[in-house]
Amino acid sequence: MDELQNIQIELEQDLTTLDPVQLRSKYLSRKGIISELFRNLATVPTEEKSAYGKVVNELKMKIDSVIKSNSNDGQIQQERLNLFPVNQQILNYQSGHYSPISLLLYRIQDIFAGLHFSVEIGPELEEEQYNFDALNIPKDHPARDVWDTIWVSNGDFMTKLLRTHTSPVQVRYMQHHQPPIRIIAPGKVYRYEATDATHETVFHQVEGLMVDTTTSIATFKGVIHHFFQQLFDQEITMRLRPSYFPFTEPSFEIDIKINDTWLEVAGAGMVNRKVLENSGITDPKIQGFAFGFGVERLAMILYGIDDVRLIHSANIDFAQQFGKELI
Amino acid sequence: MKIPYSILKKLVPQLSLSPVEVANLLTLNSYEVDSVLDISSAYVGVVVGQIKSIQPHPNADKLKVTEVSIDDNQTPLVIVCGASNIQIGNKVPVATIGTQLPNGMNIQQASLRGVDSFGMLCSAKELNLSQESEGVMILSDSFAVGAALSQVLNLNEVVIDIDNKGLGTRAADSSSFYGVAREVSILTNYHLNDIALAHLPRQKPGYSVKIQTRLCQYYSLLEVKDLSQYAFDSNVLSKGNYRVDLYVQTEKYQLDPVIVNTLKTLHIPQYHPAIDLGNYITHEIGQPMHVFDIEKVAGKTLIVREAQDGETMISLDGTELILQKGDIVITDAEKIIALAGIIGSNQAAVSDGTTGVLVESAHFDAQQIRATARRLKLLTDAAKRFERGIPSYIADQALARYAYFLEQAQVTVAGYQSWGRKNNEKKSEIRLDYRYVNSYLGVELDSNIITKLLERVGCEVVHSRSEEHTILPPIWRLDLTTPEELIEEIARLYGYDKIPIRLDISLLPIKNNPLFEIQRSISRSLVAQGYTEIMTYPYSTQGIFRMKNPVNQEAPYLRTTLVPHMEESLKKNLLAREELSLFEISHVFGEKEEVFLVLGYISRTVKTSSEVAHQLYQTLFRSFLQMGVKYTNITRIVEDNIILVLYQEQEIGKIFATKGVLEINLSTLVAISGHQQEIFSPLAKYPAVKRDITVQVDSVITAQQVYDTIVSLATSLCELVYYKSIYQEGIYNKYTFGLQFRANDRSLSDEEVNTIMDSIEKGF
Repeated sequence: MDELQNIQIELEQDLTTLDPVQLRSKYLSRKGIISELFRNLATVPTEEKSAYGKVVNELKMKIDSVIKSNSNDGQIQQERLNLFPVNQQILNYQSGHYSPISLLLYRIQDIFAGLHFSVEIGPELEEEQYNFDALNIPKDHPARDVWDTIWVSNGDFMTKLLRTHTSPVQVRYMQHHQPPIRIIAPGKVYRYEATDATHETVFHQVEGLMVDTTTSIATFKGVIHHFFQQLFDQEITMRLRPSYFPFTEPSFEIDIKINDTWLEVAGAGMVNRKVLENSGITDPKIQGFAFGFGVERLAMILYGIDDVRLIHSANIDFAQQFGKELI
Repeated sequence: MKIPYSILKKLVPQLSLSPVEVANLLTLNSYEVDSVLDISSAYVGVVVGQIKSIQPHPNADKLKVTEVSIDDNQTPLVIVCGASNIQIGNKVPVATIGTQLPNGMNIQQASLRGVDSFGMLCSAKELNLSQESEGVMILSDSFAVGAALSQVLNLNEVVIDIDNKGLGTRAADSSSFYGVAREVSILTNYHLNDIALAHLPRQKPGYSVKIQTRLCQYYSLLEVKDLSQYAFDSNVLSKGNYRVDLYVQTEKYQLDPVIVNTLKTLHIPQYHPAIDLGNYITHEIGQPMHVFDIEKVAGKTLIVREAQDGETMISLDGTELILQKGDIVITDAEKIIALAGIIGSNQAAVSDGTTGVLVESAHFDAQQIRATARRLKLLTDAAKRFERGIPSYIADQALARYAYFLEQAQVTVAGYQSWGRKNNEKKSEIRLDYRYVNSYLGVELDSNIITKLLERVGCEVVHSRSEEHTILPPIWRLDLTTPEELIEEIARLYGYDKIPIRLDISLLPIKNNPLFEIQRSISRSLVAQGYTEIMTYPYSTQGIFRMKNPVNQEAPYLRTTLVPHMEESLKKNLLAREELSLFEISHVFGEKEEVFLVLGYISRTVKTSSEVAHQLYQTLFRSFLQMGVKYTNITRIVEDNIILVLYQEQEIGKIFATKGVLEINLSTLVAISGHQQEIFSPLAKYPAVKRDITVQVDSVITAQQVYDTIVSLATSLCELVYYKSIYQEGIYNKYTFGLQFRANDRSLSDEEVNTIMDSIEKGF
């Protein structure tokens, strides 16, 4: 009990000199004086236990009330925050990421949605009929050589191919929908070729198709110009060059000027009448355009990616550089 | 297709544009130019030198130390050389210090075995003037010492290279000098010169032709005798090489120097004047030609027929070709002398001693030539030209041109004759409504402007009735057959840049493919939960669909599942990370083509496989909730730690707990979920009553089963059942669920709720 008295004296002094945090640390923490006094209760003789306990409790309550009255709220708040366990898990928390290709596809979808284009998809394991014949690329036509095709069989007689472009979706869609038609068709396409920093055997394209009774090359220029302007978020200088695709007539390439350099970014044209007919549209008043572009190529321009093979590498250091934008 | 700029200037003399300007003009209005190459730029720093002395190298037997003068007023250069063919007084090409040779070699001052060397004596191969060569190239004595090599060898051409790989139908008319010149003339409005032709002789050749197949429409022959004056020194006629000597001693070669220079510039191998002339004309006007040695042709009749299966011939380059029915061959009385339109036989090949030739200019079936050439892998220049399509009127033009050059060289043509019909491509008229033109382009052009543009291309307006016109395309444009093709001509000559940018499109409802929608919304949710999207290759070691020409021989199948690729990606990427959460969405190719989603989770610190499975399932469940998919269900472990995920009683995926991978079939999910319309419910007016129920069940009974039982027992007044806690006691589990009751029209009384609770308890 002598010890208790000494502590009482010491406390009286401390109550005036120490701040609440120091008080708490000295008396109330796990190794603090009060805690120790409570632990000592076991060694106190039985007849004194009751009185001892009462005094210690009073001491504790006194300290508590002084701490409470001397603390302002801000300090308490700060103290509590400091006590909040910022553990390793939170420090290491990684947000998820989209693949740069998906990121771009969703942006493309949103821009075209603004022009009332719907999204359609088609099979990647495609029939020769849709990938070539219906698109006015008959067997034995030299134009087939342009597309290095991966042929696929299931062991039976059936031979299919991995689509070499997204254009078959044009035919599939027009077979089941009447104009006015306005779709984009994103997806994977395949080529049998040697890979390098700019060539892959599997990559993504976005096909576009707009067919009705008034769509012209001028409309096409409007749509594609608007698209690139939105995508690059800047004024775009664009030009059309004559080109050749069996499924469009006339056909052209689209170049856009970035940093004073012309870049070829898409192929396009007015849908070939044979393709319309192959898709069941025979009304001569129906006309429209189709276009296609490589998503990887755009991603490389937009994000400065220097090797297309990174896209399918499943490399997290690569993947986690993208997709912080909200979608 | 390469065209020397000087040839273009000859055909379009007014042309004032530079080669690069011509290239831009063609690219923007006609077809793409791949490159513009200044040949002389490859020879900067290479000059004519004369060897003044040759000494043995003190430290190397095979080297020589020469003194070479490149400037008569200065001390000769010391150059170390390894060639044995040089003599004092020879004039040779010297690459001076700082030169980069066409083969990429940089010439620097160097010490060769202790002797400093100040340049290099070049071989023809090092200068890219020959595919093979021995020793240093020896130049004509007439060349001035110090002159630039490009100057003395006329290597100062600029070549415009047109990319006609993907050109389609325009590939034909852009595959000749004359065709390109015509295009330039159309674009610039400058006059196009005619090509000089001789009159073909009336006398017939001493040979006749029998066409026995429909695959040859037209065949014409020119007979030339008395070529013996063109005999060559046999050691300079090496097969397949550029005739280096001809650059030097043109006097030996009596063809027009333009022809020699052009073949040389375009790296077309030279063999014999009779062949070289044919090759030049092929490039000039587009008609492939073939030349037979007259003395090697047996009999007096050539037969054009289809080969029989298994017939063989030896081609010009010495390989044996095994033929099939359908291949077109030319035979004489004894043997096959050519595989028509593709390559000749060495049995009738022109050689040094040739004194007379038969020159063939014919028209063969494009598809058949293509099929044969592909099968035999003989994509010769002739084969490529035939498959692109050639107007048959130029067959005779080519022979008349051949005769013209022979006349210039004072060689007489002995005879000419043709067999078959020429008019296989009848010029067909195209009906074109000018209103359609304007509607297609989105412009308002006057009729006379459209007519003028068409006439520039060479079209003729043969008939007009108000806006409807009948157009006759020019004979050299086989590709113009439809109104839209004419519209393309109008558009490019009018200028695509003059067509306005118009954006006045109407409203149209959007209806997206639900599979794409679900991909996007589930991705959004997974990314929000810390998952990173990856893409992996679709090729696999096993599957149903096998690629005939796989990209990777070890993975020749299309994958039927995304699981192995995800496992691999997890392993590959875990290095230096505590945990990884990945996902991929891709098509897979099982019995049907479907879209799958795969989640992968791996951690260094965690965990039992059931914890991992729980983590994956929780992620999926949250995503489903966010997407508005109302209710999912998970069954118990089936075998080997595989857990089935069900949706509306149908399996939509599996959790592979030990692998840390969850795979979901999004196609199935979309098919069974459909679109759920959200409906507004009036806000509740009366308070809810809450009760808890605790149920003790055997531990084999899952929480899901307890939940399902409570839901099935509760009346419609029970608006919500929710899980609260679990307490394990031996083999039993005690589950506590909360229930919430409410009526729309009154406050529920305790008694009413007690009755329902009683009946639920009794139910158990």
